[in-house]
Amino acid sequence: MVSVELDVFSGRPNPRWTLTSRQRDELIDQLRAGTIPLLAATAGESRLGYRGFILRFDRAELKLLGTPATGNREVRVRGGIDLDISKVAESWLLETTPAGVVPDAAVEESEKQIVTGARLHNVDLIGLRSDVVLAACTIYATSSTNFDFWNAVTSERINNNCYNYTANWKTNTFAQPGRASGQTFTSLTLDNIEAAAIRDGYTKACNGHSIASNLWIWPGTDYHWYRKTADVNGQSRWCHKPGQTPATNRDNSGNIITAPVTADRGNYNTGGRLVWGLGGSIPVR
Amino acid sequence: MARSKDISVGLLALAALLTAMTACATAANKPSSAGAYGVMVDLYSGRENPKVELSSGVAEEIYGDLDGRAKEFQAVAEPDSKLGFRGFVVTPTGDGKPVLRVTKDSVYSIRSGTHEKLADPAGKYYNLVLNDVKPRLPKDVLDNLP
Repeated sequence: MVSVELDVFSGRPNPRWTLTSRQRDELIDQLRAGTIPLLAATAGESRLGYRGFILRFDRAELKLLGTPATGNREVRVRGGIDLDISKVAESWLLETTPAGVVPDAAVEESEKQIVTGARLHNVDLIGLRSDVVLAACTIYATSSTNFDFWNAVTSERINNNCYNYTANWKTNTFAQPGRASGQTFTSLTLDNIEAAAIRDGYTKACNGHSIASNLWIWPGTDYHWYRKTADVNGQSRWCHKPGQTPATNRDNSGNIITAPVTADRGNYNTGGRLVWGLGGSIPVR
Repeated sequence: MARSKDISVGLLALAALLTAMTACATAANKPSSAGAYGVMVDLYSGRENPKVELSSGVAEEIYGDLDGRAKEFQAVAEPDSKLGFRGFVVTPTGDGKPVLRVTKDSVYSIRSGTHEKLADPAGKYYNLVLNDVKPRLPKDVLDNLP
């Protein structure tokens, strides 16, 4: 059984509910994939209002996750480690709320704060094993406004693609996921492309000063990547390079990209997978 | 002796005629390599874009037509980077012609990074390119063209 607590109130007890079997299975898939950044249950913002979700696991779930019985049974889910990707997990958890459990005003406040994101810097992410503490996750962020490195020289611009840009590694080979490791991806699915990127050196968990790369798929047709770049005036930014075209901070509608999940991505509508590149670049090919 | 020579000449003429007919048939089915024009379908972000050749006849028709409309081109900024189909990029080899980016409603002439644009709301040039390269493009690419 997995219980969820919405950490939102100050005086009243926080709303709690239990996930259905289907929801639990979906959560476990996400946890296994490492796509939900977890904090210690005690970590949090000192603020009134929404502060994230606290998940509590039974032994059965720990076993399903391959975690010892001594593992962390209480974890916090809250985005704001200078990135927005946890919005997906938090939004999903909010959708699991059974009718009548959470007052509308609290739902509204939570939705607003999920979009805004916390500002928790250099927090320790945790694994589900109590003996695993990941190094502080900090984002290696390049400029969100200056793309000369990618765009200034025409031959370089046309020979480096979205994968080069997201890996922060220029090869002039129109790099492909997996090629650097000798095993290029074989099908246009999230799992296949993600696995190829992992072979190239990406990881599923952030463990130190890393680039954050976000994968999306045009099903059966193509893939595309975004990368988290430096905030501008306190606003989160992501950037990308659509194929041969110049690297940019704007989406298909011409809007600044604050999060890939909310950007106009054209047909690249499946995805949101997040992988991390320790050290600021991945030597793709 | 005179008869043999006539037959020989006749056979030579027939051989020449057959050769010419074969060459014409070949040209109709496949672009000539002389003065080749490459077309890249600028569609993908991650995968390599498909590249095929544009028939010389079609290419020369397009370039000739656009030369005659040179005064209608206007200097513009490079089009914004977008995901999805961004046009056919026609690249001539040699002879100083510009690279063309042909979309459903415009033609961009590109020289040394500067762009000039001709509005083509009827898609005349897009259709000229598409109809020529269509037989050489895989179905999954064709399915994703406008």
